[in-house]
Amino acid sequence: MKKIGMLLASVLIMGTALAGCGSDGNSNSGSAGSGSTGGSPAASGSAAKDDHSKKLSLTMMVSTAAGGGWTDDHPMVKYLNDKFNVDLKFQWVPGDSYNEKLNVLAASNDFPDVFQIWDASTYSKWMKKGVFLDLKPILSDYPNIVNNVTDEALAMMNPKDKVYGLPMYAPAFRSNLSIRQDWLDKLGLKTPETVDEFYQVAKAFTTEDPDGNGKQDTIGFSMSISTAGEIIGIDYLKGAFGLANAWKLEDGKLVPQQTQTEEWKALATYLRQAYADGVLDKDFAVNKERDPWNKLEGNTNGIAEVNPNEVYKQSLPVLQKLAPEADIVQLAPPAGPTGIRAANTITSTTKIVLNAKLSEEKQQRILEIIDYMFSDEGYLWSKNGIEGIHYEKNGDTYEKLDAFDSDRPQILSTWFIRRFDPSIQIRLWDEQEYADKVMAWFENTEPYRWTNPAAGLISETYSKSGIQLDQKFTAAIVKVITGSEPVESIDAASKAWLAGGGDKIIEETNALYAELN
Amino acid sequence: MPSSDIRGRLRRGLPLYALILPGALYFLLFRYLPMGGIAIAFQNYDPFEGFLHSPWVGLEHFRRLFGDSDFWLLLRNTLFLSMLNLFVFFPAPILLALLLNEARIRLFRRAVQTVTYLPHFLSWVVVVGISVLLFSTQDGAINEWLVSHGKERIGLLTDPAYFRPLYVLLNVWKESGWSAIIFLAALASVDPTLYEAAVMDGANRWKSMLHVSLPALRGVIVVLFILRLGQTMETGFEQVLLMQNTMNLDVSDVFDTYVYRNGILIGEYSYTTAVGLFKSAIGLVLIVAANTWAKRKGEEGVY
Amino acid sequence: MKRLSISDRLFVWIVYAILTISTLAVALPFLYVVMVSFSTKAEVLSRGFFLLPKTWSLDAYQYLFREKNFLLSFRNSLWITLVGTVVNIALTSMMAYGLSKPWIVGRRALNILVLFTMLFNGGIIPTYLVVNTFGLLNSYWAIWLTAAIAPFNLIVMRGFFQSFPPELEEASRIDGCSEFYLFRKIVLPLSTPAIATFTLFYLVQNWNTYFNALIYLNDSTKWPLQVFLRQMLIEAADSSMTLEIEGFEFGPPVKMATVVATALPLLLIYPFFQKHFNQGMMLGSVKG
Repeated sequence: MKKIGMLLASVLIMGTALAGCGSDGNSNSGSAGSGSTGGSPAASGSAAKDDHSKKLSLTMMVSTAAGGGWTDDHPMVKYLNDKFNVDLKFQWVPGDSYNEKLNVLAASNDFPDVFQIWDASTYSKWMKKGVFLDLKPILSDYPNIVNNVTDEALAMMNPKDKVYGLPMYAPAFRSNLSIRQDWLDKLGLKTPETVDEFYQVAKAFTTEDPDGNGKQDTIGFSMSISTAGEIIGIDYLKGAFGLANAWKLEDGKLVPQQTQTEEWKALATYLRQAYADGVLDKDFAVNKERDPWNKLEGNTNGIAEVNPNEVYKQSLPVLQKLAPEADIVQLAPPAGPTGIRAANTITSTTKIVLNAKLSEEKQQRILEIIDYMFSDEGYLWSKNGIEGIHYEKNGDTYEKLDAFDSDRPQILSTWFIRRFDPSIQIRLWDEQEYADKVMAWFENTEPYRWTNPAAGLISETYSKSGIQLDQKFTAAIVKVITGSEPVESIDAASKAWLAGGGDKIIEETNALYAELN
Repeated sequence: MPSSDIRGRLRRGLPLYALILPGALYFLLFRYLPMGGIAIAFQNYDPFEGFLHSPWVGLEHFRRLFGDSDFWLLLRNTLFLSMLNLFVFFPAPILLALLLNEARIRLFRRAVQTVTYLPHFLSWVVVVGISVLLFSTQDGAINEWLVSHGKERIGLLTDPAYFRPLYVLLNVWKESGWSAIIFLAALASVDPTLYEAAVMDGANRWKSMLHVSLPALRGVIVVLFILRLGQTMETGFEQVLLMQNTMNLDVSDVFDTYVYRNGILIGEYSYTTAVGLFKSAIGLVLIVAANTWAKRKGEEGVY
Repeated sequence: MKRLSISDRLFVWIVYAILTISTLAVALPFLYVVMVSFSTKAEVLSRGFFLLPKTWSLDAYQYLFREKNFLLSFRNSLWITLVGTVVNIALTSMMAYGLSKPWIVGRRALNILVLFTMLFNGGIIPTYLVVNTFGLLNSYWAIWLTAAIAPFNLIVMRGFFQSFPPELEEASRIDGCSEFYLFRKIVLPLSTPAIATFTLFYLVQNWNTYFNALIYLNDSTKWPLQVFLRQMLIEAADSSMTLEIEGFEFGPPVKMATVVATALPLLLIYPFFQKHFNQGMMLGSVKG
């Protein structure tokens, strides 16, 4: 055993030495943040204009969804390399492992030149560590960015007079409520205007065999529960019953949804009935986020939140193979007991950040590339690809080429950065009529905007135990919905949420809110 | 032990040490060197400060874990699932290997072996995905059958009562064929004369399976069982997470999923490491106990 | 061949019955995965579980084999797996053989140290820092070396070597063979079932490499097939992490085609290994 002890001891010594290496490189970054010398760029004007004469090697890390990224010889990469005299190295990291990759890079303090921060609490923590470049002093040199990005989005989650990251735009109403018009017609029903009418329609969809196959195999509506413990897909009902989108402002103070027990009770009672009647999908607890929509496309669900961009290109073609006369139309959020109508409203909290350790040359080159993507020309390029490769111009009309589908040139605009423009997924070759139809969905929803005033504010306690608390609270609501607990149990769940850390979350979030506003 | 003997054994073992050396270096450099990182369980680890400069907090993370109102629930659920693994899942591949060994039609045997080996290569996402198709309440195949036979729907995926049986069923389905390989390899090494001798003694097939094949597996079974005990606190993170939902949380929440929500998702590595350390410590105790017991029974053990 | 007794016949019947039933239970869901890859999205969404598509389609595979990332990562996986497995088997069998001799000084201590790593590990960040210190980042050696020996395989393999009769060693020593010669020319050839088993284990382990590749390789053109597969399945895995990402909906057929294409190589190599651990090793002949 002595030998083992010796071996262990020597290993531990080596281990400590190594840990030293890990932290050595980091002390620089600390000073960069506090002294604001290394990280901050020179004030605009004083810096010499970069003339692209020197080829720069740049690394960009992008979080990806289905399909992954481009290869290094992709025409879009070549285009940027030639245009800006750079050698771009992309790291396309699968979205569900992105944060882990980021944390490992943090340990060795070896970040790429440009990358994304999806998690708001990581953004605020690392901002204070001086990891990100403050763009405020130099941003004015990039008019396309300045003119397009809203001041509100630019300032969000940043301290006053600092801009540590560019906001990644998300259309506020990406998920719009929709309904099967052909089912309504078939059963002779009117478009529902209130939650009560909504219930009647949903019930008819369940019991009156709208798909005409003689079996009771359809549902009125569905929802899902996220890993973070949130009920997703019924924001229109949450809002209608008076709940806040996570937080609401009351006399200048932020109040969380979890304390709105009366509103929750009303909603839970409604859903409890729907569950018992089979109107609400019995599998809602098992659903993934897209399942309610999948079920709409699969001809079994009558009402779901959908992305208008995909309704005409994807959902309808799939659905019409199963039910040729199928039609999906927009449904205005039903009015609640007090007349409130609310729609799922997204506030993007994703930031694109530059490494604080970048040389001035690199800073400028990267911002030029991003600025290009915000320009008219660059925006067209990032959405549609390269003329002659991904599409062709024939007189006044455009035609998509096969390479567009195999190359997927648009992913930089969908996954990385893009203009503040709801029409980001509309291509040159899309017909005007189609574009108008899609844009109409967004415009129609505008009156029902349901904003979260505390978006991006993640308190210390929330990041520590918020998910656990929310999940417990939701589990209590679900027990009411499925009928295994009485409606009154929501009072206890709310108290437990507050006692378990909710009180602190409220306090801290309000402090953060006061600090940034 | 006389020292000259040790010296002799050392000299004689020299070529063997040369064989061991590369592997030993591997363990030293890539397994033991990083182990210094366990220290962060006693720190508030900050990636920008490193292991040396992060503030030390002593046992705070352990106090948080043991003080969590869910601790006993997590412990109960974790142990329940590992007991199921130990007593239901663990014997399945042994049984499969023994049966395969008795199937003498070569083509049949190969086909069975290949098919049962396949599911190992499906990720849990896919396996749980298929199970949803079969077991979901609304349009799962089983419930459709129940409804068409005039019976009530069952919430196979949502009713907490079905979570544990389903968990072990999926495990058996996915991994039995794969895990049987090691037992088949052990059975292949059995001296055929032993079977002949058994027949000579008048044993039938059942008896020779019991008295020749099974004892031949004894050594492997003991080793695997002991190692398995060391993994008692591991319940297959991905599988549990994917099978978990708000309605079965009371039985499906285990340490792995708990730490996923409270550590990994939010990059809190200190707490994650502390929980991991607690799990490993339990595994260590169980392995030592099992190994001591096995040695007392005359088995080789794992060390 | 001798006629079987009644009890033996019954026994054989039961064996075949159990095996047939369990094979079907495994095969049918697997068949579903294969069939989805040959079907269309509309069918998958509307039909639930099925075993034969109504409309057959090769679109998913056509898409997959046109996809540059698929071909590239497939090639990467082959390379990672081939070299990795050679490293694994070499290091593991050498160390396992060395440790299988009961008279080796320090054996117990080494065994305990190996076992200890099955329970305790430093976690990803310290390992990453070690890899970084050795300058292995962005090189396949980071993957090959960090997973060079699986303690489990080492321990079980050691057990196989221990089951060799001591006479074998004595005999060869009298013949004047060195330990190296003994290991290479006698022990290894006689251990085919064990070597085949662990080669397969390591092949599969390397083929399934996902997280290490993602963490240690920054250049995404070096990534293996599993990363590609993950990118295909990502939406199904956990939507909350990708809440903000507008992905492309490839639909179940492409996803399952990727699953099938990823598993296929491992299915194809299986018979070659199966042969070895089915034939049995004539250990007895050595004794005689």
